[in-house]
Amino acid sequence: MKNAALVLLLFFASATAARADEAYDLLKASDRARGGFEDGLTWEVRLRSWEGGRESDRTFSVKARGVDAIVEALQPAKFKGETYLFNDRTMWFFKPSLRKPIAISARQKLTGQAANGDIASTNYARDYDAVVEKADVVGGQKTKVLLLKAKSEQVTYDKIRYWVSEKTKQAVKAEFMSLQGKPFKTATFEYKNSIVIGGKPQPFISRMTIEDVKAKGDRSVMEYSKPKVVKHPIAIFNVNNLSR
Amino acid sequence: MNSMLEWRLAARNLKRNPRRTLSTAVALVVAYIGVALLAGHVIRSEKTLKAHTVYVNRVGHVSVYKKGGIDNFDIRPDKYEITETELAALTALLQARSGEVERSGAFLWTVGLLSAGQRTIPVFVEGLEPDLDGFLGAHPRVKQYAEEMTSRRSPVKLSEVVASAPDAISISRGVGELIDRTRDLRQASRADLDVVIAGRTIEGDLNAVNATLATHHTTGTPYLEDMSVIAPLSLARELMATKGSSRVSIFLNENERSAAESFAASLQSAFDAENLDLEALPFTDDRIGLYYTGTMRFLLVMIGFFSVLIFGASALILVNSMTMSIMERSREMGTLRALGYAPDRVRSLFVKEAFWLSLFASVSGIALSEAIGAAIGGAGIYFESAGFLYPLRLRVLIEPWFHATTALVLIGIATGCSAWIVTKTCKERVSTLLLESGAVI
Amino acid sequence: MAMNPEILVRVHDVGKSYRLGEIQIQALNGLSIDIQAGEFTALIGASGSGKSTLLNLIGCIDEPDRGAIVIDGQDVARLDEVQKSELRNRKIGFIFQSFNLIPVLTVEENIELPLLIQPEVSPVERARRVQAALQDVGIAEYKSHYPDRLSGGQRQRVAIARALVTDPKLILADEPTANLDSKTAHKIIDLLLELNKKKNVTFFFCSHDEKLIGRVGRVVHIADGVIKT
Repeated sequence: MKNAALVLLLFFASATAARADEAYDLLKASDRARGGFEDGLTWEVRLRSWEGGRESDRTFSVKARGVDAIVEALQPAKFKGETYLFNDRTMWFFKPSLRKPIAISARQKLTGQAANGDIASTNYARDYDAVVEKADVVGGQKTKVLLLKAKSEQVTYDKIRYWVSEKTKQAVKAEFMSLQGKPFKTATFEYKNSIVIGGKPQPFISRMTIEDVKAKGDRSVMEYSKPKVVKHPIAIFNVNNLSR
Repeated sequence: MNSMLEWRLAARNLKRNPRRTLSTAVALVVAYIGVALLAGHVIRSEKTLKAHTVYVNRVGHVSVYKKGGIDNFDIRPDKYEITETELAALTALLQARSGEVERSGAFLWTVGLLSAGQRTIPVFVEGLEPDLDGFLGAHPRVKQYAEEMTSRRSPVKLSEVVASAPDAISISRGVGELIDRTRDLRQASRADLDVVIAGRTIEGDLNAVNATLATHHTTGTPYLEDMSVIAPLSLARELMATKGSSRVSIFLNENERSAAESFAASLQSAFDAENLDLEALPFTDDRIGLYYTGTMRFLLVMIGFFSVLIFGASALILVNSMTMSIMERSREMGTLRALGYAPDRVRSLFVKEAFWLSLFASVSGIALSEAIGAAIGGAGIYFESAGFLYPLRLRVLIEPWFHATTALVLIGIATGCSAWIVTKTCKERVSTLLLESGAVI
Repeated sequence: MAMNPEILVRVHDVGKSYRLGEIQIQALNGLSIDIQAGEFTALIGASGSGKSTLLNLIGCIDEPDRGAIVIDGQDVARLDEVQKSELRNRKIGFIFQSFNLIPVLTVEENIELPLLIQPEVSPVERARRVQAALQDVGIAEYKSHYPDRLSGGQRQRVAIARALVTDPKLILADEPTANLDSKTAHKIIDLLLELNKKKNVTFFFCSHDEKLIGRVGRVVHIADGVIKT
């Protein structure tokens, strides 16, 4: 009897571990299509938002390397020079008139429905504990639905329900939730960009559409363009260099 | 026509039973003192609350917002700010009322982050004209009624510093503790004084400005003590990338409650006449001074309840005393009736007695309540009050109008009760009254 | 009712009863009497004969159950309470058995009381009348005394002065000498007789003292609520 119980326990433990491993693998794979590369990458993002009758249109240039990223505002001209720096989970804001950078939160709103943490590359595999919740079909694609829980308070969202295509290993849909599990934003993803890594073409995110769950009509669209592999020097991700 | 003899008779009648008269008088005096001290505390508290609401909290006697702005500015500042044009129109309207207005000032606020060294904390940034801050802190009403707040102000005034440092800010002591800047900032190094404040522009975009720590202040309430930053209006406008304002506070020369409400009403009429999308609210509006209005409602209900209890008990004591007196003097009443005194005339004699008694009680009550009030004020008793950061000194302020009103009420109750008690007896048959015992020789 | 101008008070067929607990007592039973102006009349009867009741009805301090009372041409039944008070003040003076002086007022203040409610009398005139009344009853030297410092006779003199000060047409006295010793009682009756002659004031007083009968002009006997003689 004892042996049977032990066997059952081991079976469920290993099954759970296997599912967690599967979730982690899916997450890691999906991060690559959203900029989560150890090597350096650069791209531009055009962020358009419609909120409460207001419309905004901003363009950023993003340089990412591993867990670091630096985002510079390009358009409109009044924002030129504004910089967002990501060091692992720490985030900074700087503009030329400031004496020094200021630490901000990835959770804070950037503009429209996009949070500060949405603008750079994603590292969900690093930032979240994931389990496979269920299987689902989205837009004709079979997906695994992952339930992600934040590993720290510094990451952008407390919980995410993440649909990852079983075939392409790309995220197709996301539901961003509060700590209580209540969804407040949803997102969909497209991957029409392509970058070459190690001689092989790799799909890259081309579009992310984020919508407010309650205020229908409030949405933001991030259009990614000009992605390429660039080996960025470490120095550009050093916060002390921002104000020099 | 009453004569002096009837008043003398009434006064002398009180000496017939000195013990009863004295015990009744003492009861009335104690009642007066009780009501007066309670009211004195409420009156003093009202002045403190008013000074705190109007000057320390800076809402002014009248606050002007964009219509809907009081509830929605924080959500949609772009839509609910008072624009530069509207501010100019408002200034012109206030100039036309300069006799009533002591001062006015524009405010702009936002929630943001303050970064000092390695620490970043959320703060509430309130932008105002620095000399307005100086004016409010030194206002006589604040010194008189809210000294517990002003006594803790830093000797360094923002208005003095900002001339040389336009980005100088004042932080509350709670903020100072959170960022480890609690010592005298005049002794701090440059690096320790340099801070950055991040916030949202009027359109909702992230922005940041440099600032220099110049001085400390206290909000006086626990709610904002670890979040408050006071900045020059120009700095707040730079942070929010606007020339507008959240609110304009108007400080009147006469800060009586009725003046604020009538001024707000008249200003609102002017806004409507000029199609300005603004609303003027007195500090007595719940949306502006809820702590003041809510606390005053509670205090007034309390004092009303206790006053009714106290005066009710006094009335009962008086009725009892008068009833016994009437019973003892029925034959006297019959004699007066026989001499030709109409029932009303006889009643007036007893009413005059009650008048003398209550007048004596009122005068004694005034003197004793003032003395006790002065003693309480001089005793230096402090008490904690919800909503205030620092203990408040227990003080009593009984104003002349209150003494006059209470005396009139007491005299009214006394004479009314005696008239009521004696009426029935006065209307009895004279022959029946003459058969009763007592009181005549 | 047509009246002989010399008749000051006419009481016609008056009845009055009282309830004492469960018992109804008929104090007056169809009593009639006329009092001429200037008369000095004693109403004599045993205790419970109705003397005080008749005096109360004539003095308008009680109301008859039936019958009519006319005083100086006025039917008192038609008067309201204020008018009766006015009548008492101006035309009737009362002298009580127990004096009924106000203890916290001096002698002259007690005498002044009925004049206070005559607004046409100036303070100077009031003072003059009080002094005259004090002189008439012979107690001017006690004017500043309080009643508790006076003897019974002196108190009754004060009561008489008070009754006289308004120049009434009729003075009603209910057993005015009952609480006095016989010597004092005689002095009081002498005083009343003197005032009757001097001022031509009509006196109507009740007493059960037969010794006074010989000294008055008219004696009326009352028994069982009716006039006997």
